Parts: sequence; structure tokens; C-alpha cells
Amino acid sequence: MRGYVGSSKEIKGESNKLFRGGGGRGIAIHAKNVSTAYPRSNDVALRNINVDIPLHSISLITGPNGSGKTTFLELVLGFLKPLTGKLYVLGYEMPRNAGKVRLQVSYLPQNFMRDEREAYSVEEVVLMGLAPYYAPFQKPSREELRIVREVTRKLGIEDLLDHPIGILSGGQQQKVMLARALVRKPKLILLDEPFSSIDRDSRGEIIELLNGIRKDYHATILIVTHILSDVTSIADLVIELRNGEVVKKEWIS
Amino acid sequence: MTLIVIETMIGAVLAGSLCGSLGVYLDRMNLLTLGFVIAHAALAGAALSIIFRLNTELLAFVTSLITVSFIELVCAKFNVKRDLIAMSLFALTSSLGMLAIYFAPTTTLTAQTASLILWGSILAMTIGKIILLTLIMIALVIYIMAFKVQINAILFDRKLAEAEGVKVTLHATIFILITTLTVSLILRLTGSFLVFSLIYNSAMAASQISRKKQAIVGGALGALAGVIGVIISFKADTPIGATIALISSIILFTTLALAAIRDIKKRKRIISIQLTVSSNHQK
Repeated sequence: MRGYVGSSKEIKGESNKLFRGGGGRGIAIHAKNVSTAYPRSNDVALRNINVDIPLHSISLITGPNGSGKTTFLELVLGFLKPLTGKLYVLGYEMPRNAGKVRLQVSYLPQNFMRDEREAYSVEEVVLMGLAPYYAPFQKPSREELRIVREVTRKLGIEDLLDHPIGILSGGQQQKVMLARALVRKPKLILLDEPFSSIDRDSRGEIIELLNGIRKDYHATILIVTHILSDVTSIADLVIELRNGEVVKKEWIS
Repeated sequence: MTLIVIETMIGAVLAGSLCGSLGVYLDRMNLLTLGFVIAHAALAGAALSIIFRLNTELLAFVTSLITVSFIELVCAKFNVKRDLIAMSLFALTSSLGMLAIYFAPTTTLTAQTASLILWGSILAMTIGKIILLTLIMIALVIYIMAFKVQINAILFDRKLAEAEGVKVTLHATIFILITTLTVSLILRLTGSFLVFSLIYNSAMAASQISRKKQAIVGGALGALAGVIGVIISFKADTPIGATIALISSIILFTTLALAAIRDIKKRKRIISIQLTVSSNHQK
């Protein structure tokens, strides 16, 4: 079996040293006194962040525009370096191990919308999620195509597999990107403003899907959002950022 | 047809198709500025080769490679915008090339040598270069087939592909290397000032025709510009580089015009459908 099912690409060593939170629960993201700034910027984007995101949880990062929500995701992905403090993702120190971590993480960016000229089919886009695990000349196996069909069926987009992604609506494109994230069978899913370009009905649908994903895939889900109203129903932890600082951490029972 | 015409024709097809395809990949990887710098750094290398009586293609390749490596190093270490440093180096390498040609001793620099580097020559294509260009073409096709999924992921969304663990920097470096090699080899056919037009025009023209098969269309349009350019250059006795560049510009303008007409027709069709739907609702 290949990397997307998390076996042959299993990384030995640090990944087994996952942090233990209260009650022995594993920690997916551990940030201790982390501060960071964007290159070419004189302003600190995040300061003294102390956060533990438990494994298999759904956590929300919220706050106004410019509060550092997306910056935190960029830190987790290893695109930014901590200026101070330590950051561990899935047991790996970042950004030193960004390459290993990225293979176990799925990311849904905020600006994923493609215009009508984008000709890649839905199936091609979903299979792109497996790209880093492919050897040269390797083509998708029957098993992988079956998984693509299974995931897209769960998301209600199986009948769109042959369609170019550019002609789909915002909500449909969102589901395609979610399917791309899921075929990787990730340990950690990072979603940046997943509800920003969809209507209320689709939002409820996506929230239900995320809850199902947590249960079915045992993944840790971290959602950056400024829309809190209905998503809190499935969240375990809400972290509020303001001006680059954590101002509130709330556990939801 | 003489052997020279056949050699030049084959060389122009290979040069056009390679540049057209590479242009598409560079454009969609946001590396087109680097392609521009490569072409002009090669000019500095070629001009220096006249003074030091060294192999033109080799020095053009080395100069381009050093320039691109310098840009990437400065970007990584000092967080300078790539386009900013690239355009600064474009000006620097172009002026160095001009100065090298200006100060070259008259014993080594003839008007013919200078024009060959600046504007290109039909005599520049040799069997050796054709073989090398063919090998580069084969290598490029094999590489794209081998890493099709990874390359598609980068073309779809470079940052997302990087976040998912695709080795984006490695693939970008491979495309830059192939471009550097190609530009160095065809420099004396098209001339250093016009080689970039083959990369840019064909890629942009292809983007107006097909998004999905853009690289193939870009290669085909580049090859077409090469063939027509060579024929006109032989028939009308015009400079080959400028003629090929002119044809590729005409192809680009034609595709832009056709795309504009297509978009207007499409918009009219959509508006008429919307009007029909709304009038049906009112009834």
C-alpha cells in the first residue's frame, strides 16, 4: 500500500514521540511561546502563541481580519519560521521537518476558486492530492480510483468526476478540494476559511461532512474561520486570536 | 533544398517547439521573468565568448546558469522579490553584453560575428546542435511523462502542491535548467534579443487556444513560427531571428483577436439565454 494510506511513508522516530496532553490525549500541534513575522515585514504577525491542539479533535481558530489566523496555518505548514519558541506538528519540530509533515497533512487554501478556463477534470484534481507519493511513470491504481469514487460519492460529487473543475459552482469546487484533501488519508487537515465562498445550506452540509470525516478518518481538523455560528456545534476547541495574540481558548463540551 | 535549408528548418522546428512548450510551463509556474533573464544573460555570455575566444554556447549556458542561481540565492537569503532582482540582472547582463561587443578588439569582432549573436543567422544550425536539441526534446518529453501528476499539481496550484509535499523547487529547477540549455543552443539561430519572443509569444498564444493542451499547442505554434520564419527568411533574404520573432508575434496577435471574438460571441449567447429565461418567468 502506498503513502496515502499512511503505511510505506510512515516516518519513524520523532513521529512516535507525540506530546501527551491532559488525560494522556495525544497532541497534534504543540506551540510554545511561538512568535513569527513575515519576510520583509517589520511587524510581528504572531506573538507568544501557546496552543495545544489535541489529536482527533476539531479546533477552530477565529478572530478578525489580520489577527494572524492564516499566519498560524502557514507556520504549521512550515512556510514561516518561528522567530522565538518551539512548534511541533505531529511530533515533528517545525520547520526543520516540513517535508515529512506535509506528507501527512492536507490543506484547503482560502483562495481555491478556479475560473471557467481551468480545464483539469474533477478526477484529475482529486488525484493530484496523491502526487507526492507517486514514483516516476506511476499511474493511479484501481484501488486509488476506487477510493476517489468512494470519497467523491460521500461528498456528493461522484457524477462530476469528468467535468472540468472551472465550470463548477463555489460549493462544488469546495467539495472537490475537500475530496483531494481526503484521498490523502491525512492525520491533520487544515482548512482556511472553508465557509467564505458558499451559501448557508452548503455550509451546513460541509459542517456535517467535517464531523463525519473526523469520525471516519480519525483525523485532526483545524479550521480557520471568522464565521462561528453553526460550526461551533462540531468543535472541541475554539481559539480566538486578536492582533497576533491568543486572547481566548474555550473548550466546548 | 540545400542541406543548410534542411538543417535550419529542422533546427527552427526543434527550437520553436521546445521554447513554446517550456514557455507554457515557465508561465504557469510563475517563472517567466526568469526565462527572460536567462535569454539576456546568455547574450552577455555570448559576447564575452567573442573577447575570450571561447565556445559561445558553453559560455552563454554558464552565464545564464550563474545569473539564475544568483537570483535564487539572493531571493532565499535576503527575501528580495524575485522579479525585482531578475529585472535588475536583465538590465545588467544586457548592458554587459553590449559593452563586451563594443570593446571587443576589431581583430576578433567582425560585424558578422556581432550580428550573429544579436540577430541570429541561418548558418548557425549544425547537425551537432540538431542532435543535442533532439536529445533535449526527448528528455523533456520523458521527464514530463514521468512526473505528469506532480507537474500537473504544480501547474494547478503551486503553493498547494508544495503544502502537500510535492518537490516544487526541484521541478522548477529542472525546467529552468532545460530552458537554459535550450536558449544557449539556439542563441545563434534566433539571436539573443529575440530568443525570448519564441518562449513568450508561443506560450501566450497557446493560452488563448487551449488550457488543457497548452504545452502541446505552445510547442506546435513555436514550431510553426520557426518553419514560416525560415521559409520567409530564405525567400526574402531577411534576418532569420527577427523574421521568426515577427511571425510568432503575428501568431500571438491572431490568437488574441480570435479569442476576443470568441468571448464576445459567448457573452452575447449567455446574455440572450438569460434574457429568454427572465422573459419566460415574467410570462
